[in-house]
Amino acid sequence: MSQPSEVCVVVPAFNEGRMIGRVLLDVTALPYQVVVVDDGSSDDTTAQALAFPVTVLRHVCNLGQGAALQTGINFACRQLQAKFLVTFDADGQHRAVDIERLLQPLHRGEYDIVLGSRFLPEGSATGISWGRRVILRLGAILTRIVTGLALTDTHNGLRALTAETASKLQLTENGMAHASEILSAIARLRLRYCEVPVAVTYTGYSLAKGQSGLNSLNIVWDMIRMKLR
Amino acid sequence: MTIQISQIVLIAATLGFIIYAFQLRTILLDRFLYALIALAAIIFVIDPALSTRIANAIGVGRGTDLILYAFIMFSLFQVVTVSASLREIERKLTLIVRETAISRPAAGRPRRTLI
Repeated sequence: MSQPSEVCVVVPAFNEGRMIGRVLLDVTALPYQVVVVDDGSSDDTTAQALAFPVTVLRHVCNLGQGAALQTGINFACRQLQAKFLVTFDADGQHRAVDIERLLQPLHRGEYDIVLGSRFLPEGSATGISWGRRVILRLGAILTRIVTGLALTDTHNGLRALTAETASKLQLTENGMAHASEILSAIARLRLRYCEVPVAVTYTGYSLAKGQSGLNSLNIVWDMIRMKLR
Repeated sequence: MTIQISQIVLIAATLGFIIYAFQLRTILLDRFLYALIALAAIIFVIDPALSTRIANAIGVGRGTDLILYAFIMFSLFQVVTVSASLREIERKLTLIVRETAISRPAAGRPRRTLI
């Protein structure tokens, strides 16, 4: 069993001033280190985050979620000497209690990366629209076809990985395509992966912040692009 | 389908162009190419019928068509070059912003320790 301080939760945040406080209240109740990456927000995201026992890194301009994640991962590995990393969205859709469940397969040394799934039997997706459910299902099928990975939920922001895995990943997709980039890396590097059920809650806020249903068609293009690379 | 000599010439030229774009490019050669294009443009202005004669010789019909094809090839080349350099700039920008962020971490309120 590892020390809680060897775990670092990376929270990429862009203009999340209204929500980040609630998210960090939840996450900092756990004994882990927390790094918030403010991706060039124009609101008070950094000020809100600094009210909690976290480290805040600030991008001087907005680069995108993938870039923010990689910044947090670099800092966690280099400066905090973290052994395990968790990625956690700042819009309030995840629950901190799921983090421990994600870490267990890593602690046992059986897996390199653990992905949260809202569609496994014990997972849940509260407030999800019919259309989004269909699109995410199609995403999973497409992922299976393109990468051969058998996953139920391919675009969930809640994941856990070892520092060693993170050092192999090195995200170059600055925008939202990093999710697909991670998947194609799992396939390419033959990483040991598994899914763990998590709860995702959609609120009016997270829906407004998140990607629209139609934008998720970009996933198709991203997957094909990464296959060709 | 019969393959004409003109088609072979055009395919060979396209392949040559791709090889040039990916393998042979140097700043000097690029400048030479631009000078060549400018020279050709001047010659076509002086003798408008020339483009048609060349077009007929290689079998693409009108001179305007020949110039259109050349223009498309040149534009595609430019698009590829510009987007590659944009990607490179974006990569460097990311690196700068990331290293700046990492070198200036801000610590939040200390964790309350349990007594």
